[in-house]
Amino acid sequence: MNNDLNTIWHVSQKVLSSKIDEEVILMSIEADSYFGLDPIASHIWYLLSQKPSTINELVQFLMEEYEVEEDTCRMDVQTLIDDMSARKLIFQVD
Amino acid sequence: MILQNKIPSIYHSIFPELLGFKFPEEKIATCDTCTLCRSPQTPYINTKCCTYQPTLVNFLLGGVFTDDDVSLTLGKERILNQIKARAGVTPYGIIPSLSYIEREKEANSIDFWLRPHKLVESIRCPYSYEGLCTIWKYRENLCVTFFCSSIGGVAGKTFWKKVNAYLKMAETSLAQYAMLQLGWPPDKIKTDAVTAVDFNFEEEDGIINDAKYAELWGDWIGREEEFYRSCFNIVKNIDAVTFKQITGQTREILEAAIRDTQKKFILSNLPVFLLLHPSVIADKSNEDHILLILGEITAKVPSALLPLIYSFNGKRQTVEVFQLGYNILFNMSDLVDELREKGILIKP
Repeated sequence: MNNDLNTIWHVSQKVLSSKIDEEVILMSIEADSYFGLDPIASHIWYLLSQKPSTINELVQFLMEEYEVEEDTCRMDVQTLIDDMSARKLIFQVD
Repeated sequence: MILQNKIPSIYHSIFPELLGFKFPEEKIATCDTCTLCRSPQTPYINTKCCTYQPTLVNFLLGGVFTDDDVSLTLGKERILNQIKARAGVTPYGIIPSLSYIEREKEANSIDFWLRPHKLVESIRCPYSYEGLCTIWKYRENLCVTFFCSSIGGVAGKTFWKKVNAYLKMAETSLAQYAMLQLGWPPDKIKTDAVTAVDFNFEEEDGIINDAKYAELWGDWIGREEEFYRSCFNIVKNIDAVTFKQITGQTREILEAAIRDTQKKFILSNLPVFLLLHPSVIADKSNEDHILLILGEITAKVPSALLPLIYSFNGKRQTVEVFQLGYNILFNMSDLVDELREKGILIKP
């Protein structure tokens, strides 16, 4: 787990995406495999693809959109970021 | 759409029977919506699928030289440069040189995404310029019939394969006929379509052996352009009756095959809209794939791709769903064929 909430994350250039209604499917060129994102994960992907962001920034954006407790939101975003990072779908900005 | 719209005009009076064949318009994978170029990372971003050197048979080359159409100016220049360089230049036509074939093999031996852009660009079609074809009116068989995905699925691809076989047969037969008419000794004419390995004037290092090249061309050496023009002048005057005599039963068999596959193509044509059968249940118990269940019928779909399947909702156009798949380089053709066959995807 990456506990630094101020780390800036950006989407990998080696990932292709297709937006289908509220969901996004990703294709990792490196792993040669597909990943499906649920609507909230898709929203996070969209935010990261528009602008590299920290977990704190993502939480702020999401709390404006969804009715969710901040702690729950932060934990969910953290989990998703860890997962996407492990799959090399996103990277930390140097 | 009819084949007349696809087949180069030089053939229209030679095999008019083929021109009226109807087929569904290909809308999924066209040059304008290249499926290879959905990502800036693709090694094919600057070439599309034009990493193939067509074999331009003698009379097609002559057509480019003889035609005053300004769209062929650059094509003419490129052919003249090839003649000057001599690699792949034969009386049958200009074929991919041995060095081109080697580079092509090297590129194909590397994983798709890892192919160096420079290597891929080194096998760009010599007639391609800024994504456009400089000899379009006289393009060869594969450039007429290649679609990486067909609106008719497997049946569509089979149809195009048969049309391709017909055109290839016509190109080879007519090129040989022109050579015969120009006095080429029949015993010196190769009977099948030729490739670089059929000739010995290109050394392994790509150097041209001028003596062997001269031997191949005989009296026509130095007059290659004139030779190609003469071939064109012979072929353009061939009528349908003569063509039938030249090509005999092979033509007849291939025409019948086109007729047969055309019916299947039309029947398999993807409907404008498709609908996931309302009774389909999606079993998501496996992490990697979803099992679509319709009564006793099942079909496996990679889990991540389920949103694509749900996009067949009777409202979103089939072509659009295919494009959504291509955004992530997923060709839906085989999967859709399977789901339609199993009744899981239906017409709304």
